[in-house]
This record gives sequence, structure tokens and C-alpha cells, in this order.
Amino acid sequence: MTETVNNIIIDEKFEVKHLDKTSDDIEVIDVSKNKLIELATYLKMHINTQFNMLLSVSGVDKADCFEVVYHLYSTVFNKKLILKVRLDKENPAVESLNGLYSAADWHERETYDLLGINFNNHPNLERILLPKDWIGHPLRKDYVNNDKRLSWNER
Amino acid sequence: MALESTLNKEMIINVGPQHPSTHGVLRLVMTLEGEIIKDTKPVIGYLHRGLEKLAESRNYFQYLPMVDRVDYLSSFFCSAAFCYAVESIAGLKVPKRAEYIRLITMEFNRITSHLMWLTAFLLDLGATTPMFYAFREREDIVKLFEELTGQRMMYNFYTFGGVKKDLPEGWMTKAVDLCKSMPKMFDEYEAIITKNPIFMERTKGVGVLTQKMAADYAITGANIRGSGIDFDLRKTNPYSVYDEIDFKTHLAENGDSYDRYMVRIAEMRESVKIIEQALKQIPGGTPERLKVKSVNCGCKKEDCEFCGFDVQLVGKKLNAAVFKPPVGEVISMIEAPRGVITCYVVSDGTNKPYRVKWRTPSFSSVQLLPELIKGKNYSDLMPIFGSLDVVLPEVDR
Repeated sequence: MTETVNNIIIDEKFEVKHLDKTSDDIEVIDVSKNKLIELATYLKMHINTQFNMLLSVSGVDKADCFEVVYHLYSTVFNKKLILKVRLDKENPAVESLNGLYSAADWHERETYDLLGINFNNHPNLERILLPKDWIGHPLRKDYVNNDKRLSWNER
Repeated sequence: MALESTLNKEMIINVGPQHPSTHGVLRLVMTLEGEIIKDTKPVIGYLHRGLEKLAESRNYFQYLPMVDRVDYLSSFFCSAAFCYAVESIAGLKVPKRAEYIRLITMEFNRITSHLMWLTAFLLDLGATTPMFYAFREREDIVKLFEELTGQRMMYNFYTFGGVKKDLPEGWMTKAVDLCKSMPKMFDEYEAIITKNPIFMERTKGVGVLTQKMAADYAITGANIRGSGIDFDLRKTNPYSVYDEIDFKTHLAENGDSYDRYMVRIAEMRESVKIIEQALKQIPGGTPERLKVKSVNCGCKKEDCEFCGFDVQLVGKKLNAAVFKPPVGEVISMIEAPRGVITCYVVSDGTNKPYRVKWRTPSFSSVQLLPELIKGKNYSDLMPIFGSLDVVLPEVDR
């Protein structure tokens, strides 16, 4: 059985997997990192979906992988959708959605800053919330702050 | 230096971080050519408190007071976003009276937040008088909050499955009286601001936000409604009891600073109507109807001593140590004064959240700023930036 997003069948074309819905009934789609741009473009441009808003990009450090979670919203149909990309722990990197949604710029920088996930082809991938000389990525579960330098007011 | 050598030369200036009209601690590195803004680079992070990291080492109840600090001008909305997320995971159903109390307090909070925006915006433009008018009403509302919660700013009033206490005696009468007097006050602001020629000159046609750009940058709230996109979560995805209340969303057409002002003024009037309706419809009840009666700790064992125990008999609040929402994830979306606050909570079945992610509307608004002020005169910076209603602690979290 193929499940659909607003009656658009995307399973075969983009090799996606439908995960369990969240507790408040939003569809969650698991997509491989190679197909992400294609799928996002398709969902944004297709007349029956029109997910024209990228609300947020968040990363989650799971036990065996990094998850990058994209929250899409369609102001036309008032529908929410969650895209999930799983990345391996060794070298987490995924294509940037910056060309498709301008909102992705800062959200991806934040995810890079706090979780150390690299976004390929991002125009300006640098730290945004933390100082530039910060060591490590705090939201990783194995993060330990052993920065031996003096704190900012003692420098 | 001769005058000729400074012509046709770009100048880099630094606005902030402690600029009086940056609404917090924002730094803008601007490239100017004469008075024309060529390029802007916002630098944020001065107020980063690591709220997402702090969530990992605290249980749900210890994190609850911190949530108010995400945005200090609309604390109720932040706690509501977190509470709705956790309630959705844990499967708690909030009693009707508590939902109505939440709705009333949230709408009052929307008015205080918009009034604060109004004063700050007009101060940016050099008008000091509206501040004294707006703070008069804001004080009345804040006094109501103080009576209800004991706090004037960080209320910490919502809890999982309800609110912490009932409305005190006489509170409803005061609220009804305030609702009656408020539309007249809004008329006063409009009389001194709306048709003011200086105000119109500085805001009309300035900082036009097109529909395409607004959706592209994920701008939400009054800013996107000022551009004419009907995006109001209270209408489209009603949370709380908004589906039982009859109200309108207000749109404007041009998307300039003036339109964003008009939308916010109309929203304040609409909020008063919502509160009046809610005060009529609120069901009465004993304090027991303010919170869920029983809690499910999610263990699915039959003889669990904590599942289904009576909260009211055991204590005033859910026991923090045993409150373990089941494994799952949820995203709750709240229509805050500045736009859509989303709170993404991942639970792994322990009493601490595995991951909390805040998506705040001001973050997107600051990101949009360079695009809006590109090629404009430097004096247009404040009418544009002020009209976006940015609160910096919310940007940095």
C-alpha cells in the first residue's frame, strides 16, 4: 500500500519511507540524503502540495545516527510535514536547502553550530549563536566542555 | 581629508550591540555608501543562554520555569508551547476551565506584548508621547497578571495538564471592566498615531515585504498578515479552545511598515473581543477541574503504582520524579504575538526531555532584515526594523 501526501504518491520516485506519525498527527517522511533536494523541490513546486515555508531545521543526536528534521508548512493548504534525514555519526553532511528556501540559511548555521552537522554548498557556514572560537558542538550527547582557556572576562 | 576622496567610497559602520533602539543586544555590521545601505550583516548570539542544552539535564518540571525566559514579553506563549508539546506526548487532556484560563491570559499577554512593541516602535521613530499612553493600559493588564500569578513578567503559571491555580475572587469582574475600557484607549492611540503625517511619511511604502519573500523566509505572525497571506494558527490549526470562539484575522495588502502597524492595532482590538467572549463562555468549576485528575507514566504495566493515581490527593502538582512521558516526538505550534513559536520535543521515556528545539519567530525576522533594508536610506533602518517586532532574547535563546 502506498501512502500519500495530499494525494501525491512519492514513495517509488524518491525511495522514501513513511514513519509513524507524531503524537499530534503530523506525517513524518524518512528520506535518504541523496534524494532530499529532489524531494523538497518536488514538494514545494507541485500544485497539490506547495510546501512553501521551511519553519525550522533541527538536529537530533540519536544513539546510532544524527537526524536532521525539517519542518515544512504549506500556507495554501495549512498542512504540516516533517522530513527526516538520517546521517552517519562519522562524517555527518547533507546538501543545503538554501537555494530552495532562504530561511534555511540561518537554521542550518544553527544546526552546524550546535550539532556539528555540515551542510554542503552552504554559502556561509559558520557559527551563529556561539563565539567563533568555541570548541566542540554542545548539543552532541558526547560533548564535554574541557576548554582550558580563560573565560571571556579573564582574558 | 579632501571631500572628493570620501565620495564613492564605502564605509563600514557598526550598529550596536548596545544601541538603544536595537530592542536587546543586536549588532549590525553595515556597509554604507553615503546614506545608502549596501549590505548588512547581523551578528547575534550575545544573549545565548543555551536553553536547549539546559533541557537535557533537567526533568520536565525543572525546565518549566526556564521556558518563560525564551521571550520575556510573551512568557505565557512560551510556556503554552512547551506544555502543549508535553501534554501531547503524555496524552494529558486539559480540562475546559483551564483551557479558558489559558486562552484569556494568552490574549491579555498578546495585548501587553503589542503595546510594548508600539511604544518601542514609536520611540524608535522619535515619538515619546505614545509610550505614556500605552504603558498606562499595560500596567492595568500586568496588575491583573500579578494578582493571578504573583509575577509581573515571568509568570510560570501553566503546568502540564492545566494551570496552577484558579482565578482569584473578583478577577473576572476586573477583567470585564478592563475589556470595556480598552477599545477607547486604542482609539486614543489611533487618534495620535494613525493619521499623523510624520508617521505616515516615515512608514508608508517603507520596507515592503512581498508575499513570496515572506513565505521564503518563513516570516509568520502579524508580519506575514501585513503582506496579505492569511496565516493564523488560531484559525487554521486551532489549539486550546480557539475553535469555540468567533473572531476574525486581520490582513493588509501592501506589506509595508504602516500595514504591519495597522494589523497589530486591529489584532489588539480583536484580542479584546476574544477575551470578552471567553469570559462569558468560561465554565465554572471547583479547583479540581483545573488540572488532569490522573497521570499516566507510560510504563504500560498493570500494577504500576503511579499510573492513574489521583493527582489532587497526592500533591499540588504531578510528581516530578515519576512524570515520564512515553517515547515519542511532537511539535507544538503556537501563534505568539511575534509569529509562530514551535517547540519540538523528543522524549525517550525518561523523566528528562531528550531534545528540545525552539523555533522562534524573531529569528526569521532578523534574518530577513538585510534583505528588507538593502538599498534603502539609513534613516529607514529603524522604521523597518522596529515594525518587524523583534525581541532579541528570543532570537538567541
